[in-house]
Amino acid sequence: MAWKDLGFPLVLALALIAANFLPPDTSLKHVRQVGVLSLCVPQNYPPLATPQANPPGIDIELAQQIAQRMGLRLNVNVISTMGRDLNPRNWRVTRAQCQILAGGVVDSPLSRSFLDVTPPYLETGWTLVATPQLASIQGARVGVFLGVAGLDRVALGQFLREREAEAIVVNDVVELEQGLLSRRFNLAVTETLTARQLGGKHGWKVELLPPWLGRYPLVMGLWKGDLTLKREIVKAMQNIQREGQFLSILSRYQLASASPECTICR
Amino acid sequence: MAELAVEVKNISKQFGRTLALDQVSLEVPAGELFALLGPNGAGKTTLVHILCTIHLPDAGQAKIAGFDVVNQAVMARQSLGVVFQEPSLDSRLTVFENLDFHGRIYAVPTALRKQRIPEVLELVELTKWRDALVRNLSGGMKRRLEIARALMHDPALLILDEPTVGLDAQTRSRIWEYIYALQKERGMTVLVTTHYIDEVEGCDRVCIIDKGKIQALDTPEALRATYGQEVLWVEPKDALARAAILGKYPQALEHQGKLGVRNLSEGQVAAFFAEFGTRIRSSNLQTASLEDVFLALTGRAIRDQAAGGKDAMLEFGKRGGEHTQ
Amino acid sequence: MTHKTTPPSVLNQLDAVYAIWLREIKRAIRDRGQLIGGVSRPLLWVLIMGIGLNPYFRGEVYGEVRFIVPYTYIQFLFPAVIALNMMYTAVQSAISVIWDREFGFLREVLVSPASRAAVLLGKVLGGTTVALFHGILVLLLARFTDVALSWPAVFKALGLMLLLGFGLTSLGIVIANRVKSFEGFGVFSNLIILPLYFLSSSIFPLDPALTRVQAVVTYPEWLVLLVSWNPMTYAVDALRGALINFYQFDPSLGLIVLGGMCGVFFLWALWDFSRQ
Repeated sequence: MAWKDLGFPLVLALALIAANFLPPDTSLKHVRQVGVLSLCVPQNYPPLATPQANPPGIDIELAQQIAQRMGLRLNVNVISTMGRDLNPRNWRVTRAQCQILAGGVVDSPLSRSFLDVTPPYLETGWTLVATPQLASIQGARVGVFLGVAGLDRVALGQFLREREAEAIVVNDVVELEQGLLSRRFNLAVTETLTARQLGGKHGWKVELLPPWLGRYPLVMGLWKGDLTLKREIVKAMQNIQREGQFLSILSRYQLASASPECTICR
Repeated sequence: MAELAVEVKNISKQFGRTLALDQVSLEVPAGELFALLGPNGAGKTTLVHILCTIHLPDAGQAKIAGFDVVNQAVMARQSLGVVFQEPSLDSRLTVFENLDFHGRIYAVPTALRKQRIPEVLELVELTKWRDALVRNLSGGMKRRLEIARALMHDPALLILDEPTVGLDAQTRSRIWEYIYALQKERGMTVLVTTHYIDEVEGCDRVCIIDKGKIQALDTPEALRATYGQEVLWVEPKDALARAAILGKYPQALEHQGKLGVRNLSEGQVAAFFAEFGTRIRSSNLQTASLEDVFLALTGRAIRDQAAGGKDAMLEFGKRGGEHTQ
Repeated sequence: MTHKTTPPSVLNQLDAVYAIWLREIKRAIRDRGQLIGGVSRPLLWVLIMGIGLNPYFRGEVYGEVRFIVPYTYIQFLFPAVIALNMMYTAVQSAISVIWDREFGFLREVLVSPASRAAVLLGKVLGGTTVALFHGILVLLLARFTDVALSWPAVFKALGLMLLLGFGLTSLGIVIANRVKSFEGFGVFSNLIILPLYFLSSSIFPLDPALTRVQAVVTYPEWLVLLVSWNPMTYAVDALRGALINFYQFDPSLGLIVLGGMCGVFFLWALWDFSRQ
């Protein structure tokens, strides 16, 4: 076969590759024109978003860094309906309010039916906290803090029943902490990030419950079709992770070390 | 030679209601240049297609180099090189690529293929055009390439179906030079079909075929001796003279306004001139040729009939069907 | 003289398959019209149509959107355009069979000692390779459509495309064997490719069970029926599963339908070929 035969197909293929560099939308252009990146977060979803100014929450700090790297000012919009469950459609947020949604957005088909999402940077799910001496979950008294996240409560109930564990539902993190300290229960189960903070504070062991109970990658939500903006945000986010700034945010929230899989669940 | 390159026994083939071949039998010994002569639609191509295993015969048996075309089709195909009437080259491939393709599908080993491609190209004088795309070649060059291609796998028998159709006189004679060379220098058995009578003079044997039947099969010389005839062609001065001649010789041939009276002895010629000498415009005496042989066997001149497919039909229609029998 | 007196071996037959395959590749590379089509189709469908309709399928535009699906429209369309491009190539191979027949080249192949199976296999593999190449041309637009191509996804997609190319080329040859004369490309395009494409759930999703919003959207029964009968539906679904991890049907169904297409159409074509 003569090499010159391959010239024409090659030129066409290169033309096709070149087409990839056409901007597919105007979202980035708009944001740059205004100079502001708007973020929608729930009122209170610790440790991702909190009502305090310091610390404001992981997602808000991450968004601040992203905006800074893109040369934009961050505008945080607190949406009271956000964070009640994992279905973003129930949050009543619109494109007019913000470009980014954060503070408890998980990557699931449900979210993706409504939003486009960044790559995950954290994961949530049911996680246990226990004193290092505890050998098995069988028959234990378990303190459960359901929190604001829409994790699968039915699955957790089934999981605990199968192990003949007694569930004691508490109303806040403080009560969970007190319960463990006072041995009101042998171990505690709650959402991953809360559990990790609690464990980190007291040196307790923190372990993830089995995957069938549901694991949810945490992401930032973007509007579908805002591809040029998404590319910039993802690029900034990856740089923040690579250069260690993300890790220093996490350590500020006692979340620097990842949790292992459960060893005492059998 | 004892070995038979082609052996055809009582082959019949019917297409719908048309009997294309009717009990045809012939044998071609190895090394012979054999011509199948006949007008279009005589059954030549049908016979070729049966030999090439494209069509199955309805009845009878055919063998190529001893291999039955029905039961040993693969071996028969392998022993056969064919140049079809219609071009069958891939015009988007180069000359070399066409030959290489043929070599591969005919299972010619790589080393042999590499050796033969320049050989066959040299033979048909296409070496220069080795890397040209076939679509850029002239009609004559394409035909030469097809001959070269048929030789790639060194077949026992080369079949050429109307190899000179549609080519100019010069190219035609060049193609025949290759054919003669192949037979004489390589000792190859060649079977050619044609409807050009002048082309078969140089062949070893000629088989005249018409309407699916073999009319005669012999060397050109023997055919001339057996079926040849002298024809006295005259051009009558007027319709009256024409009617008078036809009245006396009802078997007379008609061709382009002339009348042809066959097989007159010297005395009869003298008598003819005595009777009609004043009523004819011109006359000439035609000696025996293969054309006459064909005329004698089929009752018509091949050329008028066989200008090639549709053209012949159109010509025939224009002339008002003058030569109907 | 050295006439060959043994029948062709298996190795010889493989050489014949290779020769026919190589010829198909060379012809495809030299056919500029086909190449231009292979590049312009993805550009038109993905760049123009995809970008054009993308905003109308956004989730947050309440009241207008009928389908809430876990991808953008352009991502949804992307795998279908791969199938479309491959369908065009397969039809091109089918047309080359008709041309070979009408212009005598098929005869050259059929009077050779190469077996019918080898001839067909070479032809189909050649067509498959070309179709695969045209499918890959579409994949080159992945960045534009924001379909993240991981290596496993690419290999899975290429495997499915291989099956699809093989099945479609075989189907093309079955059709070519039934076409008496070449009526032009438009007939094929309008009669076979575009109906199969539009009815393959390619440019609009057609599964009422997909989401709550879609459940209330009802299509007329006849359209749903045509789509569910179309094997291309399952091929497109399998490609979508591999590339954007979204299935409308059982993931194994696509593989079964593609495998079935390959087997049935190739054997059918072989049966046709053996009778010639």
